[in-house]
Amino acid sequence: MIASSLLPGLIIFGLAEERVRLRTVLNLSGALVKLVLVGFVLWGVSQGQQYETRLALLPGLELVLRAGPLSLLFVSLSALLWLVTTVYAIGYLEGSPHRSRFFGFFSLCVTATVGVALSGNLITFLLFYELLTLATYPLVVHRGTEAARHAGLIYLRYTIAGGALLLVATVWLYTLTGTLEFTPQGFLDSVGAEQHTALIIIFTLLIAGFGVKAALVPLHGWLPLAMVAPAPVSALLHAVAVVKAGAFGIVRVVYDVFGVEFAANLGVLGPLAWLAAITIIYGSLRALFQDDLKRRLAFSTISQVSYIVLGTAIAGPIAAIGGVVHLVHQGLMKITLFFCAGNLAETLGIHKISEMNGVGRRMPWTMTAFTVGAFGMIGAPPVAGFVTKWYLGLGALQAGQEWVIIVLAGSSLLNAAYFLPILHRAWFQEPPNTWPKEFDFGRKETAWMLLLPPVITALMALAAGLLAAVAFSPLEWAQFIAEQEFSRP
Amino acid sequence: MSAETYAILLSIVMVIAVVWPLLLTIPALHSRLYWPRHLAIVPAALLTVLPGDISRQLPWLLFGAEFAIDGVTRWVLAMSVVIWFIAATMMKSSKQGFANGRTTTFFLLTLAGNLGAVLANDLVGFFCFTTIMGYGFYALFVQNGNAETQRAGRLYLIFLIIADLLLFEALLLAAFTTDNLRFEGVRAAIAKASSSQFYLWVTFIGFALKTGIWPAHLWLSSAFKSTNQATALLIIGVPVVMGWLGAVRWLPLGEHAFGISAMIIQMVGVIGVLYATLKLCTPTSVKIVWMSSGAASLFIAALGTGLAHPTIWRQYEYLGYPFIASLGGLLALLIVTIGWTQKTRHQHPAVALPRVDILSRWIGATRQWVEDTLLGLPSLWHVSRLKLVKHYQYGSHWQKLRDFVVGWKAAITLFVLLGLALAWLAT
Amino acid sequence: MGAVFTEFPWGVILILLPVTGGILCFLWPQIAKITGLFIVFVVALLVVGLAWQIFNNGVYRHAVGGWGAPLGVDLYADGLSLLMLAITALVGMGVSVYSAAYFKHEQAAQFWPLWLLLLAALNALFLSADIFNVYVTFELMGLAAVALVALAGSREALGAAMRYLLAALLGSLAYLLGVALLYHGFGTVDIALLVERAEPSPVIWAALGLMGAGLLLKTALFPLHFWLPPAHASAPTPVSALLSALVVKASFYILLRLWLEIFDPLVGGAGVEQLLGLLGAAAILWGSVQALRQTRLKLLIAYSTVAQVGYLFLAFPLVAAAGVSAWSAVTYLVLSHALAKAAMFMAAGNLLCFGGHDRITDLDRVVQRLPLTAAAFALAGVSIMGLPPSGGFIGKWLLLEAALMQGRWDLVAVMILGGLLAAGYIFKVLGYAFTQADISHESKAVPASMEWTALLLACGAILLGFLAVPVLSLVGIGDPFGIGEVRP
Repeated sequence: MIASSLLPGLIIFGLAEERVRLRTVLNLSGALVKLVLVGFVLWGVSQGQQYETRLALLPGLELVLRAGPLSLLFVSLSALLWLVTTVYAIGYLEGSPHRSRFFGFFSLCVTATVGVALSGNLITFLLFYELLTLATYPLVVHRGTEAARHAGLIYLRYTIAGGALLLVATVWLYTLTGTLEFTPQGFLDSVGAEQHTALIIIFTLLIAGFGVKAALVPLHGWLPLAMVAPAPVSALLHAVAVVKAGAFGIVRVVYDVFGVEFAANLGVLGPLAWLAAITIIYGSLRALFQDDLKRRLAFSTISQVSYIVLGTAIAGPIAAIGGVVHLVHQGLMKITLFFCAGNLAETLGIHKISEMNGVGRRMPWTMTAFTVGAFGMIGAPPVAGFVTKWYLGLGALQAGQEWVIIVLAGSSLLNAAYFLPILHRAWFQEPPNTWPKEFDFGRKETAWMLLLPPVITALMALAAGLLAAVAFSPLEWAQFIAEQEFSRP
Repeated sequence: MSAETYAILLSIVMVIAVVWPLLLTIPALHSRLYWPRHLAIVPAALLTVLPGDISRQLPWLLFGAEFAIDGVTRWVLAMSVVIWFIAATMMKSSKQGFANGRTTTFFLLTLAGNLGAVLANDLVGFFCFTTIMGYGFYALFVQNGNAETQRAGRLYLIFLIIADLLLFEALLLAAFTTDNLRFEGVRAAIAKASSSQFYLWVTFIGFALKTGIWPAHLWLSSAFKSTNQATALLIIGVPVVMGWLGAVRWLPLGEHAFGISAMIIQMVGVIGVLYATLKLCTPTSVKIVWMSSGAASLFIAALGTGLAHPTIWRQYEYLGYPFIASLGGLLALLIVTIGWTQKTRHQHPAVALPRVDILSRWIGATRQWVEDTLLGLPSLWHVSRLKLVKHYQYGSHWQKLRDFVVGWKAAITLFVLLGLALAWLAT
Repeated sequence: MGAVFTEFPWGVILILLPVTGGILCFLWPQIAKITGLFIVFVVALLVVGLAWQIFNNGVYRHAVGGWGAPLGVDLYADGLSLLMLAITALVGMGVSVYSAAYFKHEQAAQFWPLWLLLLAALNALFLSADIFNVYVTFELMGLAAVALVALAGSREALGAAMRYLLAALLGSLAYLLGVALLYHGFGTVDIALLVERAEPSPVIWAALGLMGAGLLLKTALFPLHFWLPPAHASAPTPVSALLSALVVKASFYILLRLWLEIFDPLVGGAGVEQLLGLLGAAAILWGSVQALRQTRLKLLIAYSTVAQVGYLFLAFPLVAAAGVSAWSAVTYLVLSHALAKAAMFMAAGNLLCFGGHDRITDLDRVVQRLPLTAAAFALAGVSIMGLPPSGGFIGKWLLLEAALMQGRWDLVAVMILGGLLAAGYIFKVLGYAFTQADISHESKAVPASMEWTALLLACGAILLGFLAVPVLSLVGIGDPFGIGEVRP
């Protein structure tokens, strides 16, 4: 499965810049093959089959790839969105230089993401996690400007430092337990009480390490800067790859390394929940004051991803559903928003919110998709964000942590405060006579390769909310996962 | 046709009534149809006239939604259909081209939300559809509007968001209390739960914001002031009436005596009625706002009574929906009449309601009514009457209208008295 | 057939062949390139043969000329030697292919004999079983290396070569004195016999002190590293690669051998290992910070070597409680650093050749223009930083594990900090590689073979990250660390 994106990636590196068609075919076929594979495995797992690959890495330590329910949720998300983003990226980068390099790293990045998703123990996770850092760096600095280099540097500073913390924590954990295998409900039960302080420190280190990518609040500085990257990169970075990998890591740590009960007994989940809550509010507040569209979306991501962390940290089965399902939902909604932002920039040269007056008339489809995404972020039904908020709120009530609801409400309010003015501007203000930099697409509003992806993802976001109760919906999977995590065998 | 086939047919019609307008929102579809706005209402209208009660679960929708129609829902549905039909007709004359298409889209979106909310038989469904309706209505309201409309729209939006947030909390509470999120299930469960007081207040404030009762009438007055005829009609038909409906459906009426909270709600209602009445007496006020606000307050007073005395509510429960429907219908009718009379004078439809135009007749009439029924201040009456007579030298149809209004006076009075009597009974 | 293989004196040929080759190349410069390449590849095959032999027969021991210990020349090979030989052969092949394209005319004629001599010295060193023999190979290696540095011909290079020569001679001299003292004291230079006979005494202390100091000087452990950066930076690229990848490791290998066999039993626990660890930590930090401050690419890489050598010494204080993983870590770091550093120097050489300079800030969009080289540099960097998946990561992981087992937080912190600094200097280079420089410069074509060798070696460093189990089991042959099986 990993190979399906790794191989095209490597081949693409070797391709000459001119071979557009071959590259496109390779890209798309890789994405499609992966999607088919994921579908196959998904079906298999739902039939109770096990998929596992092991490769000895060190004596006693193995590289494990396993297709569990949680992994599959993330894998299907990345496979799906990769396909969409590939189409988008092909359209977006048409005619720009260094596309071979771009798509090569792009594929590598997805490889790493899938690896992160499928990894069956902490060391495998770490391995792919670092690979992800490395694969995204060239994408961030892709434009090759001084600003891009600077952003790349900051990005690396944060992520490499986070990776180092992770490494220490992982090794430490290994010396304490002698295993790193992800197991539902954790594998630390055997550790004696005298080691609990050490475990708390390890937990803190792990969370700090993952928190860098998940952009938890004091560690979020790189994210808004990384917006210099091309739009498909931002989209992928925010929706699937980097930020999500961090959040996914936190989920893994809490569920499959420490185990929810164990972590709750250690007393580490409370502070984590608070941290997530602070991040949610802080991100929204900062987003409120951004005029650059992509920066606003970036801060919104900071806020939204912490929903996942929050759902995990509340430590109740229902909140867990909310957290896990938001992994998918946020991905769908945020990628839509970023696609739309990219479309605006590529079609009309719009980068700032203050330039968006009346853009809904010029690009109705794009803005419709954007609207769906924005409402999802606010958590208005029936878009997917509502389902998340619903389960988080319910979970908080169930766990007796009512303050979370206030945080959620505050966040929704702020979300509304920074998304609705954009929508209002786009739909109800008079358009200017000339756009900042208009490209000609004939009668259509923009190239179809740019238009189709956001519309599709918006539809998916809508469907994920509207059809939440259907079998194989993200919600159903999340429920399945939560059952596994919370029921003692 | 067997009963079973009929039930299936009915439920299909029910689902189509909601889905059809949603489908038509797509510009590519409705731009190819004649009368798309009217066409969209047809299934709902059909549903109103088809006899029989039915409820249909759609387990794949949201967390498992349910639609239902029965005798009492039909009242509200019928009212909605009528209001929407009128609004559709009145809007027909708006601009062509993109603006028109957009108007239609938002119109249909709001319509679908409204119908869905009426037909929904569970909390989540209702919440979901009212949200669609709320934002759709905002769009309908602000589009093509001037700066003032946009300001009013913003105010509405703020109220809407806060109300939705509060209702969301209520929803969570309900879901936390019981698994059965259908209206009757929630009502029964929440009455027994320890959080029922909190639930009551959150729900109440949420819907109070939506309906714009005193003291949350801010958005209502600014909205009425700044908009045109058709939209003003829809303000009644969409957020206000749906707010009432929601309150009746969500609150645990007839299950539990709430004592002091219910008393406070009652008081709010009564004060609201009085306040609205006083406002109606001031010549500069926008009358229709206070009519609507007063009606809503009246409704709240009744609601408070129901909350305080479950037995009374159970006794008169069947009146609830017709009451809502007729109140809404009445207000709508007022607006339409105003519009009609204005049209004959060829005035601009955006009504700031200046003192001396046709609405002043309404003022006079209402004041007359207020004074007759409540205050009984003959001197004031005479003074104003003299003034009014001085002003209104317009012609024969004004006279006709005035007679018409005076004829309605009795009905309004009747409703006010009904509410007050209920309130009295409670205390 | 199998018997022929297992009985064949691979080790002897391993030494003799390059020497002969060197002489041939010296005598007939016209065929130097062909001969050199051929010999290096044959040497690689010979190492495979030796490996076969060791697998079947266990530890290899060969008395040259049938004299044997205590005075004769013995060859000895266990898992550790074998690995060192293998890595020498591997890097040697890479360097040879690279050099074939790099050196032209006159330089080539001088390079090949020297390089083959160096190869012989290295092979001999890794196969030596007595400390005097080691001295001989040391001298041979040192002289060949100095001559290679001087090959660049520039004033800078000559100065550096001179300094290097002095350091090498000083180191060898100290070592020789130590050997003499030992021989005087115990009447043998064979390591195995020494182990039996040696006992703590002032003589042995003095001897060990002298030998240790000499070796540390040659290994360029901080603060004895002064000679390394200029020498490595100013030498011709293939030579830099050789020096950083192999020559430094050779003296470390001897130090490790002596430590394991002689020093540890005698002076272990006396704080020497702590001192070494401390110096190692200082080397990591100092080297990394210096690397970060450099403006020229090759100097940066040279300082990186200083830092990486520090990692090797971090293992010494950790051996007491976590011997296995500490030594495995050292082995792994040696291997992966050899590959990665060679690749890195080659990549730098390509850039130098491409743009005519190696100023980091003036790297002009080389990612677009020399993608293979940039990839080689990046992959090698991954290993140097110790990021997974790479050999460097495995080494670092094992080292960290050892440190954490003992609760040596100071060392953990140094390692992490070192990794971060490494990331800092490597991405500093890569960042500039993406952007356009202020001064755009003429570019010359770089032969494909040079690009590919760099890339392949870097890939090797990455691949090493997946080969930990076989490699570590190989090290276990002959039990060089004296701790039984490598890991249960």
